[in-house]
Amino acid sequence: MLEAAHQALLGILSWPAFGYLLLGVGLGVFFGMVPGLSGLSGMAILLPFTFDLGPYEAMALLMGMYAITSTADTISSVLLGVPGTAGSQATIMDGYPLAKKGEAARAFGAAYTVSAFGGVVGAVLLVLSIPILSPLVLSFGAPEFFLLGVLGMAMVGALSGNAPAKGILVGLFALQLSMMGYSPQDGIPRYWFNTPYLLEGLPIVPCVLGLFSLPEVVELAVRRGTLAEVPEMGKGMWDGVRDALRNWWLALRCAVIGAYVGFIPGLGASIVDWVAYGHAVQSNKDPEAEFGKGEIRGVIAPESANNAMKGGSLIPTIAFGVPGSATMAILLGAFLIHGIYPGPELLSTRLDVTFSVIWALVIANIITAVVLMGCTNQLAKVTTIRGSLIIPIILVLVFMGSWMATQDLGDWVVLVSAGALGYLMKRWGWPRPPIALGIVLGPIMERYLDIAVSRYGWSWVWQRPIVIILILVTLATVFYATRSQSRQQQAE
Amino acid sequence: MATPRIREHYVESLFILLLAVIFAAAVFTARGWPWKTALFPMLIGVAGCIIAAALALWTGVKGGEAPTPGDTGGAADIFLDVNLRSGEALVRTAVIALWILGIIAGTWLLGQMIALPLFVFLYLKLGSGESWPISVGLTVCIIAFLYGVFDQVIHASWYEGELWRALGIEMF
Repeated sequence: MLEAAHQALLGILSWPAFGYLLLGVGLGVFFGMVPGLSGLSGMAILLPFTFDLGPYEAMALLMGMYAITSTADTISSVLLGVPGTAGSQATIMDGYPLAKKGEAARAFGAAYTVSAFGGVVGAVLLVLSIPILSPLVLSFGAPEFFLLGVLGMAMVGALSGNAPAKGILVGLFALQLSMMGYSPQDGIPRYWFNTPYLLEGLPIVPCVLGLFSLPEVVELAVRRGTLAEVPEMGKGMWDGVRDALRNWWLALRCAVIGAYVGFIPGLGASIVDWVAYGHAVQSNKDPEAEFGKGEIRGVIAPESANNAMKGGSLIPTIAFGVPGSATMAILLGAFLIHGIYPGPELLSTRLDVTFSVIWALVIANIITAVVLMGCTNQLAKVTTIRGSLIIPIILVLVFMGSWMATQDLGDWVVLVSAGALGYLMKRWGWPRPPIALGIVLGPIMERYLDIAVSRYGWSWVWQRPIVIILILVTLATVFYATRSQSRQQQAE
Repeated sequence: MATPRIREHYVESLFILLLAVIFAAAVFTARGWPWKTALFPMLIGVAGCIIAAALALWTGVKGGEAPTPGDTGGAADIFLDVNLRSGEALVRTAVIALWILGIIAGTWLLGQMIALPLFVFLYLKLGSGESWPISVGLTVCIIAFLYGVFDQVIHASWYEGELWRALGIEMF
């Protein structure tokens, strides 16, 4: 294990991998800072650019970008009161009031310090999990992995806010879409509508870009993103750092919360910051603390948690091939594109790739915190660029990113169709992450189901204890989600 | 007369019914396949059909409400944050949708290396009323980006454009 960690560290620090890491960090700052974009969009846009890279370079680029969007999104959350990404909603609660009081720099100082801290804690928890997870994963067979896929889909669907049935339905629809093209078992074409383009299956990248990026572009165009007045940055970046150090115990607790919330498939970034914020409020013993009116601990808690969540969300992706979020689904796609299969392989023969992900996470978090502390004033100006200038650039990136899937105009038809679907889903409050997860997980689940049925018939359903446990957990997930929805409706 | 919110609710119910029909059609299509090929489509199709039908029924009986702008419903996603009168928002949505479709039509006709920079220039100059220096400058940047990254670094293949093909001109 130590040898793999050492090899991965050298791999990440070597050229050009380190250059790709820095490029990823730079892009991550942009995607995190500009409202409407996110790590998800960034991951989807960058994925096609990794096709020709080696595994270290690809992981450096993707993880460098992904690791730090939760750090950079603080800029627009604090200065504009607009979450840069879904994971920085809770930061607004006290970050924006701090900025209005002229203490934006203090908020940034605290946020960047705990973001780096949370990112490192998340990565450490990921490392500590490997020795425990490795034997567990090795004891899993095809039936267990299939059931994990079912559980992941159920959790993502069931945790889709107040509409779990919609989430599950959307996930099933995505699984159905993932079956387009030649069947993996005997090469029979399925659902291809006499369109040769569909014989190779529905490409992941245009689907994800369409679902998540085009609706944001449309919204930006409709909203006519106006130039926002940036409040005074204030002085006191180092006061914020001292605040973070004084509240290290809160930051650590929230980092652990973040990592383990991220670990559970289906719990996305938009939940983790609120969970941590709620914990900070509930555990507060200071009678003078005024949460919601510029309390620095209201910034420290969510910012520590949302960065730690990144490490936590990698655990199910790497260990079980069950992505905890749509972004992780794209990362899973990146693994598959590079011929790396999550699960036992990433915890044994390709442990170096796993460690390259962890090192990229740690290094990117530290670099970003240092860099952003130095140039927050200048970077913040990017968030004030007119939407009319950003829209054509994003559209070119999105269209060219999709083009890299199969370099066929069909990619763009898929992109726009997925965009239209994504926009309608956004409009009607239907969750989009299950679609991305379903398209990525579909072929994997079908492969495991096929192996399970071929090897064990149907006896695995009642003869394997872990399968039974997973079935019960899946049913309990759906049951509790449905019950909490009906209770919520009764309360309303 | 139905309010926009109720109308939207009807459309959403129709969307759920459409999903049920798609699942049913998927199961129907899979009947003739060997069992190994049909197993997963059948499994998912049947489950989807049942849930969609139940949800359509539930929505029809109980009614529902479209989310208000910015309301996430607690879901792990970002929902529309547009707070405009629906007519105005619809017009703006249609305009940006036409620009997006224009990219595909333009590429089909002229190829990407011409259509994409042309789109950027036209969007900036005509769509947004930007100044000439900004419109031309950003267009030049996009040309440099497309040529430098996609042509020289990634060696992407370009769509030729039907116009040039019809005229027998080899553009790329």
